[in-house]
Amino acid sequence: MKALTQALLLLTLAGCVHMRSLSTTSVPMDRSKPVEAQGYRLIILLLNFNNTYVDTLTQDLAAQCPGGRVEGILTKAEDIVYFPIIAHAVKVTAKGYCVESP
Amino acid sequence: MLDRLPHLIAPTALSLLTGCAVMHSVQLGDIDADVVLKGKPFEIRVSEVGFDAQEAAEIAAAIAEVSGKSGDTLKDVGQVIGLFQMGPRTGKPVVDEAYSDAIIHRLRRECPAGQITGLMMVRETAEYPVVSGEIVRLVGYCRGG
Repeated sequence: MKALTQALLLLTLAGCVHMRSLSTTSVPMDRSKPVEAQGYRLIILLLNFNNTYVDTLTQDLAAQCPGGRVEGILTKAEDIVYFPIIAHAVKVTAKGYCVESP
Repeated sequence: MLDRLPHLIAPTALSLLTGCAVMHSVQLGDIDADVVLKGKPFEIRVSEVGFDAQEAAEIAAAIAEVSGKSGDTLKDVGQVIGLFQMGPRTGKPVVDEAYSDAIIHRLRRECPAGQITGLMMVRETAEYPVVSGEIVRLVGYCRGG
């Protein structure tokens, strides 16, 4: 019974997702072409030495909308705990709409 | 004291290993795709040293206990300091909270007469025991500047 309780407790503690930050810009009227980019880093033993994996998000979004503008960008940063201390990840998602430049 | 050295090494090594980059928030602004794909990227980074007096007191208490002395007073000091540092925050306390205000001036210098777009603001901490680097990073693109 004790082992079962411990296993259930462990399962409860593992696999949590926490919201780190959320932001959005002004949403355009034309929402016919959604675009999305994602940055992800798996972090083992809490060791993470830089956050440069998010730097490509802007270029990824721009590449999906050549000649246009990406507006209404929702940026969401999440912390995913796969197993406490041993393995967790940070996921940054940017979703927006591609609109034609005036 | 020397026979307790292994007990000191483990927490010290662990605390040094946790010297990591912690991201608190990231925010993207609207993007003009042509400027991003053909313009000049730039990065602005401003930072300030953070200092956690509570953590310092707790580490001092732990060292005192490992050395065979009482760390109770230091623990109490740490708890009192903790009372003054409650509330929502990112990173460790800094002396000058206006350090990030310089970003707007740096932005003007990076692209004095051009179009700026694709701005991404990242708030992060370079985390070390007791001290930290509290960083605000701005990545963007400039055309015609």
